Amino acid sequence: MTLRDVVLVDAVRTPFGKAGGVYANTRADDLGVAVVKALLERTAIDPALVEDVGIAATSQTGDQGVTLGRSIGLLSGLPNTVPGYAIDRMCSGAMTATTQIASEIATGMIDVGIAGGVEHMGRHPIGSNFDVNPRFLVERLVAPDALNMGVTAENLHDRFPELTKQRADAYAVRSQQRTAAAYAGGAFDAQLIPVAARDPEGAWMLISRDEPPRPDTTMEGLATLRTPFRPNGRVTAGNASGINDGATAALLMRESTARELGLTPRARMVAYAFAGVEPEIMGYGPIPATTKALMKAGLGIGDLDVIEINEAFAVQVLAFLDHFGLAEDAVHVNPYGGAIAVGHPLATSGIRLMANLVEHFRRTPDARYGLTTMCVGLGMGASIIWENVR
Amino acid sequence: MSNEVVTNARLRYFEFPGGLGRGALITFDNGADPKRPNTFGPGGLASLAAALDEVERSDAKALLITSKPYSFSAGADLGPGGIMTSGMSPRQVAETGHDTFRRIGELAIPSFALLNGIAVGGGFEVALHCTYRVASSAGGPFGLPETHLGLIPGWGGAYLLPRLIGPAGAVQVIVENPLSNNRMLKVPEALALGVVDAVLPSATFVADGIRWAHDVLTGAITVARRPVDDAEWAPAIARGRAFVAGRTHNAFPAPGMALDLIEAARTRTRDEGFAAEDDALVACLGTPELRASLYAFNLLTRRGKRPIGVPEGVEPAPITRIGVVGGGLMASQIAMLFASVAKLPVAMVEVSEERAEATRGRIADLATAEVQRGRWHEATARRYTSLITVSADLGSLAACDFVIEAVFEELAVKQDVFRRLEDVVSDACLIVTNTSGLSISAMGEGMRHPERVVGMHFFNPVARMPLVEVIAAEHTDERTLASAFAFAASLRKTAVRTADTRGFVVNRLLLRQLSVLFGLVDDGLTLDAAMHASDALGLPMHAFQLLDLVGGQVALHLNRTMAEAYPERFPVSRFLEGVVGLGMRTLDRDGAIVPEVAALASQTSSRTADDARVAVEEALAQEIAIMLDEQVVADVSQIDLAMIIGAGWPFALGGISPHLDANGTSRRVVGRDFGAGL
Repeated sequence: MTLRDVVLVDAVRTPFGKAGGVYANTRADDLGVAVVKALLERTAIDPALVEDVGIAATSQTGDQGVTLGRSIGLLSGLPNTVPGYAIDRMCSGAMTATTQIASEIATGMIDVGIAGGVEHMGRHPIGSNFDVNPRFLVERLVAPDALNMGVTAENLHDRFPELTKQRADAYAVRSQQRTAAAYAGGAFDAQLIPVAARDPEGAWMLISRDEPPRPDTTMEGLATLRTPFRPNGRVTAGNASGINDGATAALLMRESTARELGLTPRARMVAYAFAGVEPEIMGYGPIPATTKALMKAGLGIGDLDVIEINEAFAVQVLAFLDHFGLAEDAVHVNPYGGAIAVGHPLATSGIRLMANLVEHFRRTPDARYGLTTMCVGLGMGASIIWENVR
Repeated sequence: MSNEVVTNARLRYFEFPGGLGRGALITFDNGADPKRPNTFGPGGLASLAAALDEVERSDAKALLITSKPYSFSAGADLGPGGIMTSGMSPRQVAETGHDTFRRIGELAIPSFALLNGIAVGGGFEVALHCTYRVASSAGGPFGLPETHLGLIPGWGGAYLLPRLIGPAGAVQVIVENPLSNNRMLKVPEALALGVVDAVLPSATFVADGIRWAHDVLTGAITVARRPVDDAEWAPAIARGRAFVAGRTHNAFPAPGMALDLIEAARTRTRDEGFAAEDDALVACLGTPELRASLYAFNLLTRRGKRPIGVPEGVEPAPITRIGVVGGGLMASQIAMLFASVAKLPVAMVEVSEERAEATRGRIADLATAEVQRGRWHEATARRYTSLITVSADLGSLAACDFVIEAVFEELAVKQDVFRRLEDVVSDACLIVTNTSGLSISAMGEGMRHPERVVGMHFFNPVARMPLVEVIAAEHTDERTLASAFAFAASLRKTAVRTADTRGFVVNRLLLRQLSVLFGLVDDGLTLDAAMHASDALGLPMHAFQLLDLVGGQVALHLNRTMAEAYPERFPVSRFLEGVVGLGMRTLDRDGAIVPEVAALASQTSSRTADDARVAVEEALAQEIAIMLDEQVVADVSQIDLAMIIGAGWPFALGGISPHLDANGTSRRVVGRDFGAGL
């Protein structure tokens, strides 16, 4: 089977909300509809050309439970001839949907597909629908707290004592500052799809910016925050991503199809890899995943001109940077800030990273290779290497 | 005191994309469950006025108005607790609406109505005051039903709509549609008429509407409106007047007043147009027609949904298999109703295999007709017809828990059916008759279990007519009655409970009307006078149209049934017997009396159509009084409800009793008003 080139044509997202915030009265699937519909309108492709829709959610229940790829497709106005599915790999759901749709394209089974992610953590807090197998604990397959992401971040601090709270807080402040600068520079204009939502009084509002960012964050302010995961801990609400609502979607195509349709490919998929690590230090996951993806691509870390890494926790980004010998303020790592500022609606974030990546590619024609990577619950990492299509 | 469910106008501001500045966004929301639409009362108007105060002081570049999902606004709340009972005078109602709404059109900034659901009456007028209107693809219905209720669109609609879309469209929306079973506009029609400027997908309607407004503000979208030519007005108004005359014989003032307003809108200023609407609205608000219309409206929308006389606390019997005895047109229509609405298996029984085969053809024809009208998909038709089986074996009904007969209207025939049926079905099976007037108690005589016998009288055409009369016979028990009401509701019919008296409600009054009128014909009344006797009442059909619809044979049979019970009041006229003897329709294609029928009448009397109308009104008043004495129904409202939905009698008459009270007939004939709860 000959592989075919797969390109990312467009990646969009709703502004992210805080749980209980702007989207408290908005359905999760309606957030997904907003981004899928926007992809179709922006690219003006014939919806019937879409051959598959994979949408991720971590909590596939309630308004995230109706085979999202299919139900959101129908709700977005895709013809009923377009199939769809739901997919889950926790935080890397949208990234997994992307590699899945890309694989369908690469193997020649489809030419055009949509990947996406939906997560309304206000309605579906992480773990709310878990029924964890007791063997995990009885047989000590994992530590009792391996499913508490904040605790795994504390574990990472324990494992690598050089990753101090001081460094984590400094990283968090930088994320907020970079996000504020990116807003000012219009870096998110192309990716944000305004969403109309009703407030607690029933009044419609237009949500066109992320709700979570705190551009006025300071080291002093962060120092005062409590450490909810353990006494005298290091992980705070300030150096971690929040509990958020949002949706993302990406349009992927065979490269020749994009050109036939007159669409501009933004990034070509080079390689991807998923990897597992000890669940107790799930934040370590991007390191083996990226190592494997680089090997598949025949590239080294120094070949990457931009790295978009999900900031579930500052400590997990620092572990990655230290491992690969990158400076913790490296300008090509999360140039527009990250999840600590804009938020992390679990299964959606992979495509947010791609949206930032293609923005960077667009603004930096010299950039050739880029990485999107993230840690994943229960001890995994996910990485995709992309090439700028110039 | 008012207990208005206030529809609040919630104001928020948002940033337009692209640095265009702020927009003001008003959401209408009454905070009630989704089925209760937004409406305007004094509180709602005050809330909108307060929001507009703030918008006027703001730096907003545009005002957008939208609502909770699927309900923009249903206009003034005309129900109990609504604007009519708020303590406002008619002039205050008229002027407050205008004073509030006109400020939208007089803002220094453009305004946009984002119509994401129903927008009718005042709810539609508020949108007309906006500079632009955008509809959700799942929006609508839209319309101005005021003339249907004896009102005029008096909060700007009669002035603004013709100037927006031209007089022809305005006549259609303001007069023709309301007088055609209160037809409403669907979204595509509204777009074609120019009532809305654009249709946007429902999936992300409010966000898309904001983007559309943005594009209009930046000039990326220009909205083209069809210029209205002065020459369009005269023919449009003439068409409207001819339509009203044909529909109501100008029996009611509102449609004509609305046409006057549309006609004058061509040259009036806004101030003049709105002032004229105020005057017209005030004139309407005091009329008996309006009180009767609101009574009728409330009967249909509120009380009609909760039938009077349903036994309380009685569990209806589950109905899972239905039998129909008989295979004629009425029986076939009833079977199709059960299959298509209740979606239950229906076993029909005819007297012979030959007749059964004919019935199968009839069922197939009914389904084909629905497919051809575009109401059903072919697969849907197959689903329903496959639920219906027809045989010549009464034993095929053994497993049924509900059997209805629709055989020939002859007591002995029906008694025979019931007795044989009882040997076939279980003791718990409901046995139902669709008789249009025979004694149901008599049908049950000799039965082992007459307590499960009940009448359910459907009207032709069964699929469309919303009324079913539910008749309790002498031995009918509460479970049987409760089951009949529950089943009627599951068929989405409005049930009116009547006693087991001949003709029940609708046929009794229609037959009394025909009997009186044709008796006058026997005495020399001209056929022209008979034909126009009901003009001033605005009835949907005159006597000859009604006779041709029902069929002379059936009418005569019913008349005789009534005459057996009430010989003095339902004499059978020589004229009717003559018509049946001819075996032909009374009217030709053009609606003129055919010569053979004309020859049956001496037409020697000088009595006028109006004399005949008075005679009919007096007879109806007398009959209603007797029906109330006989306790045929719980109260007079049930007679009015039955006549409105069973015979199409006008809202403006309130069915009939409010009209008879208003013009003094009740007092003159019965010595009192019926006093329906207006």
